[in-house]
Order: sequence, then C-alpha cells, then structure tokens
Amino acid sequence: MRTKIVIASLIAPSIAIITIYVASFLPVIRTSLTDPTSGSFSLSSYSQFFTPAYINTSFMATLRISIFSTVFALVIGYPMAYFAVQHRSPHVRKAILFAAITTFFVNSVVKSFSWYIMLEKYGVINIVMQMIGLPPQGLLFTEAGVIIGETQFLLPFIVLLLMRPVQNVDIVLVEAAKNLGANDVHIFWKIILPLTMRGIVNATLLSILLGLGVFVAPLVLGGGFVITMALLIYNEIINAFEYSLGSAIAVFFTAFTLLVAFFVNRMISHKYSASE
Amino acid sequence: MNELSLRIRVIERLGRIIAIALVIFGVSFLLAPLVMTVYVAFLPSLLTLVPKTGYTIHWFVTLVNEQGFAQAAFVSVSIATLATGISLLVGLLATYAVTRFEFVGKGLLLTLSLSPLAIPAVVSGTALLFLFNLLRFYDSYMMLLLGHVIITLPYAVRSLLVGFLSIDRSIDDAAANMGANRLQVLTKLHVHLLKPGILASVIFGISMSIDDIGVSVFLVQPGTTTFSVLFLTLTRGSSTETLLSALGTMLLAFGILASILSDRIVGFDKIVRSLRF
Repeated sequence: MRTKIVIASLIAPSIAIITIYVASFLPVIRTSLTDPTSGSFSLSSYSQFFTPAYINTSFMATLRISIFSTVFALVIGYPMAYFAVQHRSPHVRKAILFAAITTFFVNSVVKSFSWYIMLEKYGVINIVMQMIGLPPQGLLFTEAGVIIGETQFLLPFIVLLLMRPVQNVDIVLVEAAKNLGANDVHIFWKIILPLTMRGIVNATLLSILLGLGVFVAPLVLGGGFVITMALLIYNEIINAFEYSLGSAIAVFFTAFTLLVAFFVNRMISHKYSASE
Repeated sequence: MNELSLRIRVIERLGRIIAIALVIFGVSFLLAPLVMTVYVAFLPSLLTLVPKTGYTIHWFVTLVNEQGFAQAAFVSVSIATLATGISLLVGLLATYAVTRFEFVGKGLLLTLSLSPLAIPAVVSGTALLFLFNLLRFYDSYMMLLLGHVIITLPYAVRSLLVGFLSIDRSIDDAAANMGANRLQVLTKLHVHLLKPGILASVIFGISMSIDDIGVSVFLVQPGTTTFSVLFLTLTRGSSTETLLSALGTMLLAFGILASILSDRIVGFDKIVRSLRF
C-alpha cells in the first residue's frame, strides 16, 4: 500500500503534464470535424484538404524536401562521420564533431537565416560570383533553397547518428583485409559499407521522419512560394483563421507522421539500439 | 596486370580525394553561413562586403535598444530556465519510478512522455493554443511555460532514463543494507551518479527551449515574445540583414556555448551515444 502511494506521487506530475498534452488534441479533432459556418458535424474540412490543389503542392513538397535533404545530408554526412571516427588526427576528428554539434545546438531560425544572407539576390554568394564574373544564382524562395536550409538542419543528426555504426566496424577485419592485399576501394565496398548499412538505413529513416516536420526553412527560405505541411497548418490557423481546415490538416499530418514513425520503429533493428 | 594495379591506384586516390572534398564541403556547408552571419553583423551595410569605412558595432547597439529585445531576452531566458528545471524535476521522479518500481502502464507513461518528439511541433502548438482558448486561459507567459515544459520533458526523461538504467541496482541494496532509506539513496547517491544525465538534460532542455519556434509561435502575444519568435518577426518586417545578423550572432553565441559546455561537462562522445529520437 505504501509503495503504491510512493509510486503514485512519483508519477503524478508527469501524468498531469502528459494529460494536458494529450487532452489538447481533443479540441483539434473536434474543430476538424465541425463545419466552420453552421457549427454542426461535418467532414467538409477533410474533403477540402484532400484535393489535388493541396495534396500535389504541400504534401508532395514536404515529402520531396524531406527526402532530398536526407539524401544530400547522407552523401555529405557519411564521409564526415567516417573521418570523425577514423581520421588519425585528433584535431580533424574534433573539428568535424565541433561543426556538427555546434550546428545542432544553434537556433534553427538563425541557421535558416544564415543561408538567407548567403542566397539572397544581393547576398554573399552572388557578391562573390559577381567578383569572379559568374552569373548570379536565384536559389532563394525556391524549393532548392529550402532543401539547402533543411540539409543544414539534418546534416548534424546524420553525422552523429552514423558515428556509432562506423565506430562499431571491427578494425581487425580492415587490417586483415589489408594484409591479404585488399585496396582501400575494396575495403570500403566489401567491408565498411556492408557493415554500416544497417546504421545508414536507420539514420536515413530517422532523418526523413525528422524532415517531415520542416517548418523554419520554408518559412525563412521559401518566401511564401514553398509551403510544407507544417507551414500550411501555421498559415491556415495564424494567418487565415481557418481553424477547421487547419485542424483537419493537423489531424491528417499527425496521423501520417505517427504512421511513418511506427513504420520506422518497426524497421529499425532493435538489436542495434540495444547494443549501446 | 601492371595497368590494372595502376587503375586501382587511381581509383583509390580519386575515392580519397572525393571523401576529403565532401568532408571539407560538409564542414563549410555547416559553418560558412554561420561565420558569414557573424561577419555581416559587423558591417555598416550588406552592400559592401569589404567596408571602406571600417567595421561597426552599431547594429548590436540598435538591437539592444530595439523595442521588444529586453522583453524577449527576459521571456526566453526565464522560460528556458524554469521549463528545464520543472522538466528535470518531473523527469527525475518519473524515471526513478519507472526504473525502481513495477507498475501497470509503465510503457505507456514513457511513450507518452516522449511523444512530443514524434509529433510535429506546429501540431503541438496548435493543440495547446486550442486547449487554452477552450479553457479561456490567456496568460501568454504561463502558456509558453507549460508548452516548453512539454517539449523539454522528453529530453529530461531520455537522458535520466539512460542514467538510472546505468546505475547498478546492487548499489541501492548496499546503501539500504547500511541503513539508508529510499529518500537518502535518491538524494545522496543517485543524484551523484546521475550527474551526466542531469547535465545533459539541462543543456538539451535549455537549448531546445530557446530554439523552439513551432510551439512558441502559437502561444506568444504582443509583449510576451521569445527570441526565436522575435527573430522571425524581424525577418518578415523591414529590418536589415545586418541588424538580424547581430541578433543571429547573439543567439549563435548561445549555441556555441551549449556545444562547448556539453563537450566539457558531458563529452561529445557521450552525447553521440545518447542521441536517439
């Protein structure tokens, strides 16, 4: 009995917070099922959202940005993680880690803004390009610009997530292969890549999941031309006061994200995450 | 045979060059824009990258006098501190219960307390705004505080859970055999052993709170704004890039501080190991 009281008082504060959080979704679900004009039950907000106009733009843009940014972050992040673990110079290892962790900790609005001053019409890149006589780029306010910003957001996660799998590669195997006459190319393709494949898949899935919530990069670098799902919800509720439509989109998007998260959790080997 | 080995040598070289190029590109891709932001903050204007009149701290002075700056500084820092403190306390109690007692719904408690990580921040913000409206609760500061407790709790729970799990249960028993009660074990022994977990949860909590935009943007009101939201508001207004860079530089300093502290106190390698979603 006494133990029960102890347990109850220990978990009471967290249950209170969780209850508020979970309860806060009820008004969203209710609003999404309410007709904004008549106030009666209706699915009209959902049918309004499930039209090519919304699905083909926001939903597809969100998927594209998340997937492309993840692919870029993976291509850049894999050698970074590899060097951060295996490079013989501790300074190189530390420098890569510092770049990844500092970027991870820097405010995401600042990160996106820093790419804004690089990409804008009279920004840093164009000034430099003009100096060396190249035509200016116009990546700001395009999806490509948003992908650049999102890649900067996801890259630290990818580097940090790939470090453990790279670290776990048995150095004895690499040495053995070297002694048997294998060259670096062989060692990479036949030993290191296969052994880190599981980690690559895990990092990719987690990064795509994380990228789905992309909000700041399109807000700062999209200039209203690139609308992701998270930005769409924000616009409908804060700018357009379309509470019912915004809620319907939020409900759909949450369900979709949780479904992806569930799928990702199933895919990620639990053997891997248990062996820490 | 000779030609083949030559080709392999070339490919080997090429592979190494590409890898090195990608690493250099990656590090500059992350840091160059941030370095430029700091540089631009000291320019008289963005029109001349190399100013003839010299560098200036004019934008920092303007920024500090900017309407809303002091207020945003107060709100951001106090909310981050309070929310992190509350999350730490709540998380300590919950993870202690989870790791030391058997009870029904343990898994559910953990899943739900970590769930704000899985749900897009914008959706959480919308939900909290709707709930507060329904309850006719309009105190922006308290709304922000509760919102930030919700988003920092997962980090506390995660780092403390790892911490508690790594404590050998036999230490508990040994302390108990020596006559310590549960409270003494918790306050005298665990807090000591949990130090890395506690520090990790504090560093993550404060940075995630200051960083947050998705939840905060729904809960702020004129007069109660956070740094992130202020920054966003300024980017959409008529402020110059140089002024924004000054604010960006200040927030950047937070990030670098968090990064250095986390290395000094917890160690980068431990952060890498504890990083999960």
